[in-house]
Amino acid sequence: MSMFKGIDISASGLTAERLRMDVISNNIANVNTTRTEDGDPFRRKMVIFQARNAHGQRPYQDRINPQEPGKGVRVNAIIEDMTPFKLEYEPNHPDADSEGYVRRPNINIVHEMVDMITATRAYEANVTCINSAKDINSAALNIGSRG
Amino acid sequence: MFERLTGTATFNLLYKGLEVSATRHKVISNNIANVNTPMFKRQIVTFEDEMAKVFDGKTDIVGRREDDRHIPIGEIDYRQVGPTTIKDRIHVMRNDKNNVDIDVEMSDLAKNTMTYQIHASRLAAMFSGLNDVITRGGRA
Amino acid sequence: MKIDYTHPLHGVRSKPEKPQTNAKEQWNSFLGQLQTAITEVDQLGKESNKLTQDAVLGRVDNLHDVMIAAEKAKTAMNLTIEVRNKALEAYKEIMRMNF
Repeated sequence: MSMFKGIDISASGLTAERLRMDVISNNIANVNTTRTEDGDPFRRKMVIFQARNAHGQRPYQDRINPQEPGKGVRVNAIIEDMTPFKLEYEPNHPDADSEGYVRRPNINIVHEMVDMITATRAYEANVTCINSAKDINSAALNIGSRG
Repeated sequence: MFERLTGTATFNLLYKGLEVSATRHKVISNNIANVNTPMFKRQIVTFEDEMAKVFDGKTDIVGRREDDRHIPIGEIDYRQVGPTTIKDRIHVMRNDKNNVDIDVEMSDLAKNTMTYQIHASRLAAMFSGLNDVITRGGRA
Repeated sequence: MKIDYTHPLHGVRSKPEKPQTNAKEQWNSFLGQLQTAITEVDQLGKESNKLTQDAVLGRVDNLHDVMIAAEKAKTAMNLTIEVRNKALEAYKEIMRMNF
């Protein structure tokens, strides 16, 4: 029981969106990585968000009780996007295969930028929530200050 | 004896209003935190309509009825009405079945914060007025 | 109905007083009310203390509960003090009269 439950909820949103932004930044930084440690090109990564319910945080308890406000959001997993790699014809590239095609990461820069903007906007919205929570607390404190 | 000061309908409504606004803030924060969660449905808090139906212009609990046993059968005491959190399935959904519209949530957030501040400010003024009257009202 | 003074929505409905003509009865009834008021102030003060402690221990859900309880206790205390002052003034006024 805490009087700061609202801030906890927004903080979970901040953490989740920040993690998402980091994953997107990593995708963008690796847009031309044709070889990683396991020999394949870099695979695009995505985050899976899941709402925390009011009681537990285990994935199979994800039914939200509509009678209670939830407890924010968590990143369930960071998974790899299994869409196929892009193929480009570059016979002189060191990573070209026998037919001269280079496999490039399955990352679309425009798509990543749109995701980044969405994540940033959500992050800012959560910050506004926290500021509002502070305003609400101030208003409550003022109940007793006069007279 | 003091409940005559703090048991008025105005006081009760303001106090209940604070509780509703506090709950609403948590619900809105949760909606915003989950704006990008697939399958998530936004929640809302209902209270005002239910209270308006029940409250019906009761101006003061003191002096209206002689006996609490005179409550007609089926009538709800307005003091029992509270905030209810429900899932809102009406709004349009995106491809990932999430129906949170961040602009709606942000404007709800602003309205709710101001509402809380109004309630708290009115309560502060009530207390301040009471204290003024008590400590200075008797002096000539 | 059990009256819970910590619950802000429980009102106390006093029965209307019968008109008192006997001065002594009036004085005693006044003292009785003062005694009740002091008991209630004590109760309100205890509730306010408990909520404040809960706030420090992180057990309270809404800050406004704490603030309102504190304000109620303070207002009740002020009222009781003023009533006591007036009673004392009235008493002194009477004692000053020469017969």
